[in-house]
Amino acid sequence: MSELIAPSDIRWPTRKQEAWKYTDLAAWSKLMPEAFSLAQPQPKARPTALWQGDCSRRLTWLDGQFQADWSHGVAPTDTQAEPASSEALSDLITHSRRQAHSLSLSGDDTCVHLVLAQDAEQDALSHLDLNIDVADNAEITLIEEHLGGRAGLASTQINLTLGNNAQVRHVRLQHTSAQQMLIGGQHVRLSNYARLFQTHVEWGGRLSRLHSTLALQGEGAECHYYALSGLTERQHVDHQVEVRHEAAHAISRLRARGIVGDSARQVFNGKVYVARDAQKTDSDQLLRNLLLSDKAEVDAKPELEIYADDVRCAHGSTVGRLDDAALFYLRSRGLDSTQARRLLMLSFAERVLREIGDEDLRDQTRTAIADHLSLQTPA
Amino acid sequence: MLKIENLTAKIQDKDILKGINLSIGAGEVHAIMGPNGSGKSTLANILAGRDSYEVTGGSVLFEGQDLLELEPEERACAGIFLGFQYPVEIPGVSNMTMLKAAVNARRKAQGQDEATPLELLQKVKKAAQTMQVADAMLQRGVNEGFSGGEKKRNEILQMLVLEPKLAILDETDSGLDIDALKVVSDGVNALRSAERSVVLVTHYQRLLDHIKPDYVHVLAGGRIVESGGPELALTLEEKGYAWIGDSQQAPA
Repeated sequence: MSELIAPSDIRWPTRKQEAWKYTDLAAWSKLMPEAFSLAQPQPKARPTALWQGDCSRRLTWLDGQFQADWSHGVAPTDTQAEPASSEALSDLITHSRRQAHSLSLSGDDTCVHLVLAQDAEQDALSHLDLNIDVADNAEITLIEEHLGGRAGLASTQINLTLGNNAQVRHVRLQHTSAQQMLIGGQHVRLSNYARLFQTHVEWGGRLSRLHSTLALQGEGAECHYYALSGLTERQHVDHQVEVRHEAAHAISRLRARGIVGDSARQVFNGKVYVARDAQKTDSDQLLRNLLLSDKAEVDAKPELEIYADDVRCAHGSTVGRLDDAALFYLRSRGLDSTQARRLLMLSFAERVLREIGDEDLRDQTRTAIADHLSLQTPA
Repeated sequence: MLKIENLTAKIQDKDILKGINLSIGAGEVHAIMGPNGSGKSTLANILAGRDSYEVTGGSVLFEGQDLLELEPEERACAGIFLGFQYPVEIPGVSNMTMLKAAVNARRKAQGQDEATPLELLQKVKKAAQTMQVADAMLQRGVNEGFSGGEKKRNEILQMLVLEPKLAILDETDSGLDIDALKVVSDGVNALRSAERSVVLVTHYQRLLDHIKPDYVHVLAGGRIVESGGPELALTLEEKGYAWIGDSQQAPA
């Protein structure tokens, strides 16, 4: 296997494919490095994760390769890589340096920290498949962090299965370095009365795409998807979310907020599908975006596809700017306009940040995203 | 302390202030009364630096410096406080967070170190006690879900913590029941001293039963058409603003 591969040697999805309409990787490939590295990453300094608290397992990968020295608790199991679940990405994944692992989580794994680091010394092209099974009745906190990197492209596919009555609080933080690209996929299956609380916060990377399929397969299952991005310069974040109500009495909530400055772009497509048998579905989705500059762009689209007749499904989408009256209010109290803008951005972000249960992690995340947003030139 | 000379201002193409002259000395309380649309709130907002109004002429000196040249935050740090007619809600940012930023901005402008958490807490708690604001409200978002009366009490609480030299209170009495009016008035009276001045912008005489002004001015049609002592407010209460219209030439 050659140690290098040129982006031009890969067949990328294009905007002709509906799901890639706003993230045309074929066009993006012109902006990518001349060649990606397929070499083994060289673990040197342990990456600094935001979350430093206690956890039963901390599992660290570098460019998709598991790092036992930087991990504790039971290691993941190597598994056979399955064929790529996304046809659009199959050529990319085939050409990437690829690993596949699986984790079985029980009630003993109260808190699991997944550190998905990228090497800062090469532009790696890597893919990681991770299958996570959560046992019936287990209650688990998952903290997934994406960090580090250079101008490489890391793809991940996480398949998360929640057993009956399992509960997962999943916080996903994406703060990779400024030129890193990420292509993420997650396929979550919820059994009877399983509950998933996901909070996605992104402020890193050049390009970050996340395609989520959240399948409520069991009766009375519940899924809460909260997303927040804070974007500056030319950052691009694209969330494609499909919630599938396949059984009765399930609940879903989608709440996405974007703070989009400079020439950044935020895409959010939320689709809620309700099958014929999924009676008494209770679903709503609310997309709110804050534009901080005239060059920033937001594409937000809530969608519904309903085949059952006794359901409650609501959706809404708003785009706004920082409120002048609120800015003046804070400045009249002595805050300069940078501080005032920072507090108003945090006010907007807090609706999502408050979903992060751990207070330290919430405070660190709040500070990190506010610091990132404060770097931009005021419009 | 504050000297306004021949101040004129417009919003979009509409002239609102048509030549305001007003001097406020240290320790004085001035009430500015007048009918709706007379320019009272415009004057209050211009003094605090709101940029949606365009000052077209005249001057404002605050302790000898040209106030109109300063940004809103510079005016605040120099000692000006505006109590808003409609206080803004900032959900998710606690009162404490905002007060800390405000207190420290002022201290920084004065070349002082940041307030210690204990100093700040003591100051805020004392103000909260005066304003009968529960501790839980300090941890809530700024004015988030507050009733009209709670918002106004919160304005005065902020004023007590920030200890301005000149407090301009824009219809702080509107929307208050009698008990809340008493609390708000007690708060304002607690700030009164030989060094601090207060401008009360109000429609009604009833606030002035609790906060006794040294001077009362009537603003109508963008001008101060009458000035006097506290007795002027009583005359207005009795005869209404129409009396001013009768005793003056109709404004252009």
